Amino acid sequence: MREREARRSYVRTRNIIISPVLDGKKASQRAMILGIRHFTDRIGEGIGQPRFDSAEGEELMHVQPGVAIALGRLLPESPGTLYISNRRVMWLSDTDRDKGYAVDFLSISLHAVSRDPETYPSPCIYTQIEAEDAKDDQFEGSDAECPDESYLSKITEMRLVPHDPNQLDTLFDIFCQCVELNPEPLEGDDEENSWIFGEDFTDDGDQPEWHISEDLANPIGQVNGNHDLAHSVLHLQINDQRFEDAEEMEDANHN
Amino acid sequence: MCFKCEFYINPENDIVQVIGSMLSCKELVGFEMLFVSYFKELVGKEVTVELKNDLAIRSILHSLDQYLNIELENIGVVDPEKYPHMLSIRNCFIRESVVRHVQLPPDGVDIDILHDATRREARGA
Repeated sequence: MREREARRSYVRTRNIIISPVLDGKKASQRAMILGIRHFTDRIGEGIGQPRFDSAEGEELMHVQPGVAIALGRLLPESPGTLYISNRRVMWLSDTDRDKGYAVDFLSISLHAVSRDPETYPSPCIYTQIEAEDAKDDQFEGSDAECPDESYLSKITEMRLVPHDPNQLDTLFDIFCQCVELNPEPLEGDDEENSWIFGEDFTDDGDQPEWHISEDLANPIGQVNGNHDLAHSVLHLQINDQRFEDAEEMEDANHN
Repeated sequence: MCFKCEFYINPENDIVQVIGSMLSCKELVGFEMLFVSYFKELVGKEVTVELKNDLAIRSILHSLDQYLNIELENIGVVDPEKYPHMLSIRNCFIRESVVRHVQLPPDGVDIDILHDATRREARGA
């Protein structure tokens, strides 16, 4: 938890706040692939291990041997080893060097620990995947031993079944950390406005039209006694079209 | 634009919905922090999180991070017939970008503050 706290700290100078959005920028430059895909890029002798994209800052976070994987409604495949990097989850077969799957944390919508034998026979990490080509009819899918790429791209559920159920909570926590390391990539290239709020931004001659004053910020910002939050809120002055929908909201409130 | 914050307040039953497209915005640091601190006040309360795939989860808000990724505990699925596989799950972690709505508990919301915030916003438009 301490590490997570540290990562979420903001870099501040007197009047400039730079958000961790820089990570998002970096992420947006990567090829974004939604959903599950085959993974065969192994290095090393024997069954090998996955090749990480270290040039892009990919690092191994956790290795969990003895994990079966069940994609959608397919039967579980095992034995395999789970490799979790700061960017993606990889499952590699222990017996077939050409068999493996990978999914980016950016595609993992939801993860949870599932222990009820009535819904699934083995305790597992249950995940929902944002798929490139999500269709409800995936559940009609075949029991093919080796699903092809188009089938993979429709899969919206993945279960990871560790041989040792005691590992479930650890895996859950690692997933939480990694999701936080992968914020949504930004859209657009308007870099200056997107992550720097400085004096220039507010001293351009126009009166800021929208300002969170202290009396508004405090009742909300003082939650948990976190004065830093309230402090950073006070810096915010907005004067652009980003609130152009506000009028209709006002209408909605009156309706 | 990508930043959008909508409060819907029904004065009759005090149900408040916050529309979640602001959840994926990293541009307005200060404003986002306002939302994070606001949502943190709701930890421990019951919320209903509706995902973009129409899955709605009614649950206790366990925690959330700076991006408004949400962790829920003691979850129930609003439509268990459609999503039976979610029934067995007690805790889950939801990526911020797939959240569509968060429905807040009436007692967790200060209507006056929200009214004030939305009016200020409307005036600025």
